[in-house]
Amino acid sequence: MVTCGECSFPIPAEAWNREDGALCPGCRQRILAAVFPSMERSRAGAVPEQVAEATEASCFFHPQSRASVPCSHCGRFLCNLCDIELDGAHLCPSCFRAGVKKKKIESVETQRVMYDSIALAAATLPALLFWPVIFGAPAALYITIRRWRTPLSILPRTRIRFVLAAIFALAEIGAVAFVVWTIVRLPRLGVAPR
Amino acid sequence: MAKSIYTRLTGRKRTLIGYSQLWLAPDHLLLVQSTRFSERYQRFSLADIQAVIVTELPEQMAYQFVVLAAVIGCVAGFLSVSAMFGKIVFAAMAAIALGIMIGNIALGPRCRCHLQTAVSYERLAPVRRVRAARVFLQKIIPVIETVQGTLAPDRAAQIEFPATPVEKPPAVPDAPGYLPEILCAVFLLNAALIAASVRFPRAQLSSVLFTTIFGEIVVLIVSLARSRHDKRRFVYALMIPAIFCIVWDAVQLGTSFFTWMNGIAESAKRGEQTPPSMLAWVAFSQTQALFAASWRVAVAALGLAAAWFER
Repeated sequence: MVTCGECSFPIPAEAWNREDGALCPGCRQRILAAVFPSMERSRAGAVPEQVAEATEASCFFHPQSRASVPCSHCGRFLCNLCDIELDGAHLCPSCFRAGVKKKKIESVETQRVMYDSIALAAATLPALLFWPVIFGAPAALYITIRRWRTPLSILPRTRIRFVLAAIFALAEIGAVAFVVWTIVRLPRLGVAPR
Repeated sequence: MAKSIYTRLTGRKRTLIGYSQLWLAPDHLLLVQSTRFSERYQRFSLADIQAVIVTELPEQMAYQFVVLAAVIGCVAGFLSVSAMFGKIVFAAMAAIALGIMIGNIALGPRCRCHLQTAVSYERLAPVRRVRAARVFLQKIIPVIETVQGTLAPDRAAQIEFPATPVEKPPAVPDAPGYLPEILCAVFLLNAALIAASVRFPRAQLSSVLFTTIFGEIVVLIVSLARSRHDKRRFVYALMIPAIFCIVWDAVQLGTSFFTWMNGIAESAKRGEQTPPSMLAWVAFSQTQALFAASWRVAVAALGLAAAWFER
């Protein structure tokens, strides 16, 4: 069933795939509904076949089900139910879970931390209040070095933020060092600090 | 930089703390929700997409009238004030409001776009104007049809749907996070700083208080903004009286600071060589400091306890 995004009223099949759109029968708003053949597909998944003879290969996780494919990673036999097809490989639930946990399967990653943005923020934001750069600059430098090789976004993204963060952090550390050096040197130069 | 499999489909839909955007891969559509410091990904296999529905939204007449009223008000202000600074401020405000209004009209009608699969009905936030939606559909329809083929009208009419809608699975609860706990820790830190600034006035801790109280306000706003992801309620209820107390403290802090600044201006007018030093600025009096420190300790203690028990 295709429903209107505004009023959830079902959109009739006559209104599907029309270039000029159609009016929603519920809310009278114009709708453009692009509907595809997978609408016809059943929601039911594949049912594993039962083992007919004792000599037949069975699923590692379901001994009563006939094995259809081995796991590409660990080699365990899998039935239709346990087979997870991903990027052309067949994985068992254990290998899939392990891959997700260790972030080895990029195509199922749901979240990534942008360490380059964090480093840049640590280098720039504390500078607005000046004294927090004492903590911000070393932190930015540490994150840049520690996380340089960590994969960033799965989208196209350069490491320019890391580079900028390192430049800002080094400049801030240099500035702080200069201020400290000046304060230490002032009495020796004969200028009494107020 | 390794070559990415993704090509950009839409512009960014920016929010206060991030943005969302749609990207296309050879076999799936990717919805990215970014908070600037992290990205969340939702993938929709091209083979599983059943429909993309774009619903045009009513025109924002009330919003346009409000902006128009703001423009008229700014023009009136521009004509009524004589000071050059005032004229510049009103002219800038009128230009910004006019820019917003013209931009909104130029972008065209708004819309809401949804993507339907057999098991989900997701809103695609980056598609929010009809013109952009048409461009998006022009890009995505041929790609999906390459994978699935075309749905003929006669076959579309034959599709039968279950009489009762299929139940939605229960929503996966978001992790509550530790922002309320961090806020309570900042409250405790500020309470200690306020007490120390009164006890050791020569340490000039008052100057740090500007930063730490500002930090407190930022963490408080972010916590409240993210509270809908958290089931805990008491710890957020505690933040309401805390807001009033912070405003009160900020007023006290600001008053004492401007009194000190006035002292500097007065000494300059009198032609004194040495203006009042930073040591002359007392951020909080004894009573004010007692109030500021004690409410923070109380809220932090109650908040930490509540956050612990409600987690």
